[in-house]
Amino acid sequence: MKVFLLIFVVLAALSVVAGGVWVAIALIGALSRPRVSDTYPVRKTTSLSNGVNTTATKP
Amino acid sequence: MSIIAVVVYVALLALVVVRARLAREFVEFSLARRALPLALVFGSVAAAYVGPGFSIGFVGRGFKSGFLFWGIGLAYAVQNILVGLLVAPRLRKLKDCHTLGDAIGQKYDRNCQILAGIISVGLCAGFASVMAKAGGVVLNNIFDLPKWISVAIVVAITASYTTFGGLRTSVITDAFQFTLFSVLMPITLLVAIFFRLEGSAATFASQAAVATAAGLSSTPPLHLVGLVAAFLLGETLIPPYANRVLASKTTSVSRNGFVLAGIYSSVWFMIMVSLGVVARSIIPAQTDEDHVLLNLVKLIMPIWGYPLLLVVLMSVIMSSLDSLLNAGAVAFTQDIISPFTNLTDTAALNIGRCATVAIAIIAAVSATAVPDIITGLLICYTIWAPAILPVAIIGLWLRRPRPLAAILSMSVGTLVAITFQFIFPSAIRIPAIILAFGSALLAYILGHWLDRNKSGAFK
Repeated sequence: MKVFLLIFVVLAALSVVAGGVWVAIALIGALSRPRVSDTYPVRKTTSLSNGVNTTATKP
Repeated sequence: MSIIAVVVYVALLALVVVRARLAREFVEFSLARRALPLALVFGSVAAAYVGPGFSIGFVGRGFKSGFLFWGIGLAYAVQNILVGLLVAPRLRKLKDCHTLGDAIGQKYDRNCQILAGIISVGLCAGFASVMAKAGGVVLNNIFDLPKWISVAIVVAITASYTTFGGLRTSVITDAFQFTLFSVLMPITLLVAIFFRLEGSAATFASQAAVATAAGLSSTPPLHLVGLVAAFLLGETLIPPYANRVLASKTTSVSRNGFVLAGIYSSVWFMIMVSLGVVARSIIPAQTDEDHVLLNLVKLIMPIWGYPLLLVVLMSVIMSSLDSLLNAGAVAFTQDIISPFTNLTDTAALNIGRCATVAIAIIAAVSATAVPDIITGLLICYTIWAPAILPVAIIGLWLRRPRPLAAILSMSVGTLVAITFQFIFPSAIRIPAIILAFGSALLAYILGHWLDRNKSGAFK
């Protein structure tokens, strides 16, 4: 009985650590993902210059 | 050593905040663009509910009453799982919803949204003042500064990143803080059991049995019922949790995030209560409940362990405080200001930022009036559950919820809770939260019936 209680507590402690590590990995992923503004154009403006239709992209 | 630990912690936090970047639109400030993945929803919900009560408080209760409080804490785990399974997906499905008040507004009407907004902002300020007080106590322990300066520093640091970054920064810093405490606290327990406890498993088990039996015999059944009710209902769908539901990427992320957070809470309570049980063989029996964790770590951990624990406690407190400040500010903007005027996105963002600062100031000032951490939390639970829960949950399930039912239920729930919590606390034998919750439910049924009869039963 005593050993079972101890095993239970130790397993609980290790599960909490595992939860922390899992969230830490997700956090590192969220912080290291390229920012939207670095990857995609957020605003597109279409202008006509010298009769040629060009699309300028503003980060 | 303590100062170095705190400085390193603040520097790391600043790095995370800088990476998380500024909120440029209100939808980013309030809902993090509704793009939170499962791990961040789970981590930030867990970081938001693990405050001083669920850490320092639970260790103290484990010290006095063993695993009794783990059993009571299970009511909280059940609540989280039920919210995940039954409420979160329905709430997340609503379109253009920024807050719980917004959801109530969509289901009932504008007046109900404003009333829900006023209750939400008041409760967020109340919870925030409890967190501010706890933060002040911990910082005062590290630097020995006057209490009001300690409170001001904790609130100022938290408010600064919440004001500019909004929910996204709050969630990301919560995940960072969650990682810290969910790794360091269990390690403290393992060190205590295997290296500091004489007799290891045998001592632990006998202390657990003695303390739990003592706890059971010293707690009257009615008091036990009140505690279970408070843990089951008190924090259900409070604004920071509702905001995380609404900010989830999908309905299934919101459901799974809350179910996982519920399971995690039962394991977390086990760790905290076990730390309290271990402390029984190490520190003097007359130690004050709120100081059990601090004294235990001072005795069992190496010299660097104590400052590390203080840093963990700061993160536990700040992660709850930032969520409350952001949720209160979003509720103020969306539920109290927005119904009266057509706000532009920039105006809403600026009002949200100003409201964050205002709620932070109110929390810092009123922190001095908070009696103690657990009592402060129980007062907030007693008002929140009756005032909002019947309206929010029934509203999400009924096809045609009636505004009169919502107004009656929120008003009666709030008034009965305040009356029997503050004005006549000794007038009744049953816990105020149960009486107020029952009254709010009856008022809802009455309002629904009256409104249905007024507008025609088959309308």
